[in-house]
Order: sequence, then structure tokens, then C-alpha cells
Amino acid sequence: MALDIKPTRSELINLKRRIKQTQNGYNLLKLKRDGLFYEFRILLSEMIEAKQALVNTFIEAKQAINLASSIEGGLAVKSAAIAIAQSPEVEVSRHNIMGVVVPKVEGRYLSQTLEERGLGLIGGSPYLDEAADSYGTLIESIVKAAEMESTLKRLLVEIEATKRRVNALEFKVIPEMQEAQSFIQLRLEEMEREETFRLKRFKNK
Amino acid sequence: MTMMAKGGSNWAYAAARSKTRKANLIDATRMRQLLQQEPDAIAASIAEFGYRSEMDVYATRLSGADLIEAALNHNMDRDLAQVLGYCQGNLKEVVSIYVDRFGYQKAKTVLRAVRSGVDYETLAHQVLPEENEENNKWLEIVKQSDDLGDVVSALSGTRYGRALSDLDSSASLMQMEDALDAHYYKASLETLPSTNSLLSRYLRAEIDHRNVINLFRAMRQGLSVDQRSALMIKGGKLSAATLRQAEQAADGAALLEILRRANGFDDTGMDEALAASNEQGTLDPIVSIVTGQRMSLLRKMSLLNPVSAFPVIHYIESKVTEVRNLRLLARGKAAGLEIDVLEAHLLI
Repeated sequence: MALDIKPTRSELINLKRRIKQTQNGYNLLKLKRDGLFYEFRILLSEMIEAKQALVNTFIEAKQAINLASSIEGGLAVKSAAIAIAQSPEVEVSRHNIMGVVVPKVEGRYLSQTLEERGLGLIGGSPYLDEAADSYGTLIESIVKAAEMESTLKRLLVEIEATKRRVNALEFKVIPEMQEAQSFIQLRLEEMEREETFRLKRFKNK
Repeated sequence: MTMMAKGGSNWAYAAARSKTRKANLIDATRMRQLLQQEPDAIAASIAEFGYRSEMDVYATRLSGADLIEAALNHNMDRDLAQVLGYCQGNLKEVVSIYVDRFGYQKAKTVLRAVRSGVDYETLAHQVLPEENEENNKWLEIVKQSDDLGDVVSALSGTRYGRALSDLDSSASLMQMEDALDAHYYKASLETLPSTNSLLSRYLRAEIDHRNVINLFRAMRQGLSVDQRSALMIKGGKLSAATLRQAEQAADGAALLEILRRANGFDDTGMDEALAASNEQGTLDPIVSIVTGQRMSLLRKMSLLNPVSAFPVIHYIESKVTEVRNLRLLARGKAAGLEIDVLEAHLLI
């Protein structure tokens, strides 16, 4: 390998300092990778539970809306649906997990009470109430799962990038710098031996 | 009987025609056979049972369960108009009171559509199909109204307008719907000749059933005592004192205990229904038992009073039940509900 390095003592000192810095960075990146991976594993198990809960909630909601449509009629369900006073709203902000910017999803009017729905209470149907409640819970679960899923994706991307950096430092950057350091040390030693030999020759003359 | 005291009515003729019509409705055996059929076969059978012309009307733009439901509703509206057509005099007034409830539902749909700004086409295609001539007057109101105030103005002079006239201009949709629901029973009981008339007895029982269901709903939804109180419809057989106590009940068991102490409350099967309701997390078992009690009361009153408005009303309710059952089968089968679930909800 051709090394474009000046074999000087100051370069050796600089290189030693850079190796130390790089090794510090390497250790920090390794810690970050392990930390991110730890966060990822915790979130992953939560995500698996959330997904399972989402599936169960969806099945319950579907069952409730099917029952409401079958008993009260699809037109009654549509009539109630068009009158909902507030549609669910979702607001996405950001927060930081170990330097990774992840989305934070907050919803409003996701799960509404009887009064918030704005429909008449006296003539309401328990089947429609239960369908609306189930869908409120479903939307909450969707929002929670969406936040977790996008957080997991961001964490995964960051873990991959950190892993690449750690590997690059461990298998390329640091070994190359150590090689350069060895080269300079050898060259300096050789130059020192040459100088000693030259001095001896000069003394003999 | 009070209802028979006035002249000009064709009680016997209308009762006979209603009984004949009722005999032509789908019986329990046939309904159970339908339960075993696939959705397409159910649709074909429904067409054969006298709904073909209405299905043809909607077949160009609807399909599946939507087509069946639109056809069933259209047929029912047409049937109600025919029944009112052969009733005369005081009988017609009494039957109209019962039939009015479907108009109140449509008034609420119009209010909802106007408040939410749903466009005319969506409403006319999906909620109040314009092919059904009974919906035209309601669609016209939607077309001419920009806000709830316009709807109230358009309804002025009608019974629906009278229900809304006491509300101030800033009343919410919820207040308007509640006013309509409360007004239906109040106006009906006031119109009927005396509190002892057959229909008023039935309506009072129906009010109790509605109040009982609403009390359980309110409890499930965690409404406060004041909110529960606002849900109660006045005029039922349950006394005001019983309702006040019921509104304050801490749980379903306490509510049932209060209702059980009241005169005339039929608690048969309610303990089991309450236990099933708590276990399944749904009010379905309680609603089913209360609906069954109401149907049974109507059947009993019809049999005990063969020459009265009740055979007509019983026929109307049977027709409504048939439509409800067919819709349940069509929608339930299309949605993949299990046969056990469908059978449990069939009113036969």
C-alpha cells in the first residue's frame, strides 16, 4: 500500500493523537449502536404487542360495525357518520432518542364520548355507540402503532448507519492509521540508524 | 274501548286486511331457511318475496347489501303508505301516530346532513335515495337549506317544526334530535283520546323500554346523573320517583334492583341478560330481551283486541321486523357474521 505520509516526528505525534481521537469516537459510536439497539429491542417488543392489539381491536371494531349495520341498517350508520361533529385530527411533532429525530404523533377527537359525537342521546342506538367506541379505540391504536412503526424505522436506519461507521472505523480507518503510525515509526528508526551510521563514518574520516 | 268510540273508522275492514297482509309476510321457518343460504341466494329469495320491483329500481346503481337495504326500505315506505291508505277516520289518526316515528327519523337525518354540509348528491344516493318518492320532500328541504335554522323554518307548521319551535336559534344538533325524539312520544300521548287507550298503553310501555335501554347506555358510557336525567322520556309507566332512583344507580345490578321494585316492570331473563352483558362487554343481550318483550306485548295486545288499531299496528311492526330481519341476513351474511350471531338477533 502506498502511503502518502510524511515520516516526521510531528506527523507521528499528530497521528497518535488522531488515532486516540478515532478510538474514542469508535468507542462512543459502539456505545451509541448498542444503545440504539437496546432501544430498538424494547420498542420492537412493544410494537409486536401494539400490532397484536391493533389486529384484535380491528376485529372487534369490524364486528361491532357489521352488527350495527346489520341491525340498525347501513343507512342509519351512514346517517350517524355524516353527523359526527369533530373528525379525528392527527398532529405530528418530533422528539429525540439518542440523537435520532423520531416522530411523535398526537391525536385529537380520536375517541369521542357520546356528547362529543354531537348526535341526539335519547334516540341513540347501543349498537351504534359500541361501534363508534370500538372505532375510537381502533383509531387510537392505529395512531400509537404508526408512531411506533415510524420510530422503529428511523431507529433501524440510524442503527445501520452507525453500524457501518463502527465497522469502517474498526476495520479500515483505525487499522490504516495504525499502519501509518508503524510506517512512520519504522521510517524514523531507520532515519535514526542512517544518521548514526553517517556520524560514525564522518568520525572515522 | 276508547279508540272504538268514535265513528267513521273502518276498524274491522282494516284489521282484516292487515291480518291478511301479515299472513303473507315471511314466516319463521322460511326466515330460518334463508339463514342457511349464501348472500346471492338470499338476494334472489328476497326478490321473490315481493321486493323485486324495488330491487329493479335500485339495481342500476347499487349492488349487494346496499341494493337490498335500499329496496327493503323503499318497499316498507310504500307499504306504510298503502296501510294508511286503507285506514279511515279515527283509525287512520291512530295508525298515523305510530307511523310518524319513521318521519321523525328522516327529519333527524335531514338535520344531520345540513349541519354537516353533506352535498345533495351524496345524500340522495347513499342516505335518502331519491328513487323513493317518500324521500323527495326531505331532499327538497336539504336542497333549500344552508343551516339548521333553514331546516327549522322549512319544517315550521309540521309536527317536526313544533318539536323544534321551543329551542332557541343557537340549539345544537344534539338538542334538536333529542327534542324530536321526546316530542314524538309527548305529542302522540297528547293526541291519543285518553291515557287508557290501547296505543297509549303500548307507547307508555315503549317509553319505559327506551328509558331502560338509555339508562344502561348512559351507565356504560359513564354519563353523570344530570346527563342520565336528560335522557329520560316522560310519559312512561315507570314513575318519576323510580326514574330518579334509577338515574342514580351505581351499576347494572343496582339499576335492575330499582326497576324490579317498580310496578309493571317485567324482569324475566334480565338477570341472565345483565350477566351476559357484563361478560361480553356489550348491551346486546339487554337490548335483545327488551325488544323481545316489546314484540311480545304488541302481539298480545293485537290478539286481545282483534277489532282495534292493534292488528294494523301489529302488522306494521311485523313488516318492520321482516325488513329488519332481511336486512340483518343480507348485511350480516355479506359481512361474514357467523350464523349463531345472526340467529341470535333474528326477531322471530
